[in-house]
Amino acid sequence: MKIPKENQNEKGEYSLKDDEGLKGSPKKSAPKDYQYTKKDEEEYQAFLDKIKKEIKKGLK
Amino acid sequence: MARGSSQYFSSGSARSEISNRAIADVKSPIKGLGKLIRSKSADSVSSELVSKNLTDSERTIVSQSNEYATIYKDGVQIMIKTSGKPDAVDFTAKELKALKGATFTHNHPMVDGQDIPFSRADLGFARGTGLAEIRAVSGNTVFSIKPSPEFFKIPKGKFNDILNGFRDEQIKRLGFNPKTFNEKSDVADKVRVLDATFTEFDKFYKINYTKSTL
Repeated sequence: MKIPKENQNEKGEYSLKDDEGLKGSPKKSAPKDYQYTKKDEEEYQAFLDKIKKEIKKGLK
Repeated sequence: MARGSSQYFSSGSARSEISNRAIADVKSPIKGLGKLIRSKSADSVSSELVSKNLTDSERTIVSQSNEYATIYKDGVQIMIKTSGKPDAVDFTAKELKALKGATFTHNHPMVDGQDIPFSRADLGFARGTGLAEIRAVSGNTVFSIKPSPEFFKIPKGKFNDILNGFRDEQIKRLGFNPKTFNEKSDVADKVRVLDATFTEFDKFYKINYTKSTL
């Protein structure tokens, strides 16, 4: 496995790093004020359709 | 028979003798690997993990403040790794090769009282190394992913975009603003999004994402 640069430690080894930024996160929950729209739903559906096609292609 | 393992242990203690006996019983299933691989930064916890089965290893590492990984192949423990860091474990290229088809478990130290599930990096690691199963233990929870062949067919260049596409959608569905989520969300918010992301991703790529009690 070729080690991508972003995964390398200072010695060039693979560093499996939890990079979700959990440490140092605010102590307060984010506001839940986002309105999920019809456009969001359509975009997600298009994303899923693309994925389904890729999976189908991969299984052939 | 494994050779040369005594260099990894401090000499003269009862634990050292037990550990060396245990390690001598471990036959590596991997061609070219004569012994159990252990980190150079191995410590007393690593020594304690020698010859422990998966569940016992997980019970040992779950309470540690640094990350540890123990790896099994065909039921045999092949590696114990730590880098002495709370959020990372490092592997050489040779070690990565040995992970194909293995069961890999590691601990995620709890953050702000939350059990920490897989990171996106964990999933990428499972894909890149060809793991049969990746597990993370945190608090009282065992997170597990057993990827199907569909998962390994994701083109390398598209993997991050696909995973992030699922994540962005979960952020919005949970009512968070995607533009400010990374900056404003607390650990519990991030954990909810990660969990929802893996659950949704599982519906398409059959990674068999499960959570159970340790």
